[in-house]
Amino acid sequence: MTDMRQYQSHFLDDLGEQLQLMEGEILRLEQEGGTAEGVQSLFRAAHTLKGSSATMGYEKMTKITHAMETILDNVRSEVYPITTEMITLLFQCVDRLKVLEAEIALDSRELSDIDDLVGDMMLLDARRAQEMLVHAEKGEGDKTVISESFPLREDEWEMARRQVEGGLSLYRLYIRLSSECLMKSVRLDVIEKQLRDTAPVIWSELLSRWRDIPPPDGQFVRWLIAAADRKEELEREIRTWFDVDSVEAVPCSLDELHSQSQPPVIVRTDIGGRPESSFRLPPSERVKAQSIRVNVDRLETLMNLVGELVIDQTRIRQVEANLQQKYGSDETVKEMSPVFDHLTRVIGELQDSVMKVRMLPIEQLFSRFPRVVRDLANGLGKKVELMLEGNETELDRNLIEEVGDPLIHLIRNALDHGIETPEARRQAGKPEQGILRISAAHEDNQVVLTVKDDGAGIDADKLLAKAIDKNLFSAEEASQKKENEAIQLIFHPGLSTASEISDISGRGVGMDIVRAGIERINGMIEVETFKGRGTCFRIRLPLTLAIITGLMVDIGGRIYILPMSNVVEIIQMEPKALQSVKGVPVVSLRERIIPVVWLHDSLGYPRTGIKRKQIPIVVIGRAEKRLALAVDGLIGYQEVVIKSLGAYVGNIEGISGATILGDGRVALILEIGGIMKMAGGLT
Amino acid sequence: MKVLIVDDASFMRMMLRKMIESEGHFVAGEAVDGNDAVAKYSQLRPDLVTMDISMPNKNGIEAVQEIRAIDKAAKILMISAIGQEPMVKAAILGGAYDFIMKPLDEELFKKALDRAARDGR
Repeated sequence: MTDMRQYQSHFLDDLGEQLQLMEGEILRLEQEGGTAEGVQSLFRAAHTLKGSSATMGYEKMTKITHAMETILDNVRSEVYPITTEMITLLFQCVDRLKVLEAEIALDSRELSDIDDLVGDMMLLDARRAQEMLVHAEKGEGDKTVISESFPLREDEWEMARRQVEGGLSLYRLYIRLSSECLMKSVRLDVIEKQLRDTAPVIWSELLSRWRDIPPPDGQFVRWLIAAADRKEELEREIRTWFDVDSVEAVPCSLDELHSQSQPPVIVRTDIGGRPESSFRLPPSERVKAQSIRVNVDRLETLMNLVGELVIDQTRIRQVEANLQQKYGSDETVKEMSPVFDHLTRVIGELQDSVMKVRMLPIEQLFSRFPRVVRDLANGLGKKVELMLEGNETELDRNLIEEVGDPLIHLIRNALDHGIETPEARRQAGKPEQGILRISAAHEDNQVVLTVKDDGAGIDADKLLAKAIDKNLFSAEEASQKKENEAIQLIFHPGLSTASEISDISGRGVGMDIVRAGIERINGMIEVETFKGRGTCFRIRLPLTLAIITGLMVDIGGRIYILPMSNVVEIIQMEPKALQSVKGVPVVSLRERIIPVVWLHDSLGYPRTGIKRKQIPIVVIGRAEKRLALAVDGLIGYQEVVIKSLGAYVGNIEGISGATILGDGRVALILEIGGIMKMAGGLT
Repeated sequence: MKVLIVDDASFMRMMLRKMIESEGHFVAGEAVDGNDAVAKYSQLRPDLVTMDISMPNKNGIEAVQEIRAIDKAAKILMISAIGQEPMVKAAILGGAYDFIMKPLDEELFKKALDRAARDGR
């Protein structure tokens, strides 16, 4: 037997994609009702997964996908319509498939039991089919099976209107092939052609729905045509065509058509006062870009090489400057200048392109949210509308992975603690349905993500009371805190304002972890809240992890690099302007007292700058925290490529990596979190 | 109606001729492969062509394309064996008029002739 394990990683990649696709389609089914295309694409995904999991020998996965396929097949053949119950089951399937996916990824075995789910699905299938049969026997049969909506496009509408104005009549045609027909798909092609030779075809189910997969046996295929003939003439003619078992031409008016061209909204989550959540995602963005799969390692290598080039280019610039200075009048040196310019530009573009290769639209991440919000809202009995903006915003793929968990945590918080129950909202004079807006946008070479709800906001007094309760500080200290300072307490480890612990956003191990997660990827998180009107979290992230804009500073004669994303402000200050609070040197800046730290102390150099007239001070920020770093000099900023220090040196607190400067020297890149921690020990 | 029979098997040609003539149509000629079919078509300009699919030298699909290039109104009935679905599909998309399956059902074939004659008017 062939060893299938070698295909495992490919299989898992595909699986992940298909599951995401399925989830998206099921959601769409839920919100928009069962469109033929949606069911079809879901069916195809289930079919694909069934095939690949069977090939890999994963029986449970095959069973689930087979059951999904059966139900979806019956839905698309209009044996029965899709229902809320069915959608819930389909969601469960995706969930169970995800569990199996995790198990397979772990040690290639399917552990969890799935028979209950498959049983449920088979039961549902049998029950629905039975119901429809009873339905049909009551005499509503044929029509319920064959009459359905015609999803006309704008131009098709226009065409229908023109034909009617031109004196032709509209007919809905239902044609069924005989069961003996041997080449069904070709036969339908011929019928399509013959129809088009007979009369103007406005809409064809064959072209819009059954292009890839032939319709199942006994299925009517529908057309909308405009013809001068009478119903009987039309039917008689078509009946002479090969393999046509049955044909019905139903005359219809434009008005009738109009009421039937609305997609059937079968699914409504608000039936019986159930919580409802709806989502807005423009359907036009469903077009997937063409792509090839590339191993990430190769990309990393490419990125590294470009990084080297960037360094060389900076060096070349310096060499050029030196040459200009020494031999500026020399013809050869003059000739070099444009070459250097060109080289610089090309390397810049190369760097951009390689960066772009690593970028993915954040939609990848966003597409997970509707499901999360739906489940949470249902679980909490809240009504929430999720609005996603800036789906197309691109971000380094590593960052997308890293920022996912913090974002989900923020969403959970917003639904659990932010948005109120429908009753509470009504009482507060707000619409019952809360709005959760998640957006992404590029802003000055950074990506800004916001999670904004229109809920109750954060109660500063409650936070303070809790902090006092937990002995974080005294009541007296608390009374001096300004409101926005108090709000920052939500980032404090061990504080949660929910009076009851829920299983959704947990017990106060939330926001500090969110912040830590964001800061690990050089990001910043800020919070803004308005009592009774909502809360907004704003996350700033660098575009990529591999290259940062760094501020080069001189400390004890050596160059260190601070990530610009953490630099809040740069000031020059006279030493005597420094104040002291409880023995700690501080600067007062925009009504904020910020502790000053000499990096020399942490890094083990003698302080030198203190004797000078002006001390350059770099204010760095990490969330609400600010720290002023006294340095010996500011050198400038440039793009630096982050290189790891390597396993030999290992992790050093306060240092995130190193880079090579234009002149070939190595400079260490400072890590703000670590520095703040060290400073905390010193001050 | 003038019909051109294209088939590499003489037995099939004979059978087709019998059926066509018994319906009162006229067999304008017979061709034994795709090349022959194209040549005879431009020479005879029949109202209908019955076209076999697998033939030596030039197959039926290519012949359909070439004949349609000569005459956009050419009416070609594909005669297909089971298992040739992709080829029949190609022929239909390439402009063939209709198809019928081998072994030939006399009634069906007559029906096809009948309709071709009607459509030709």
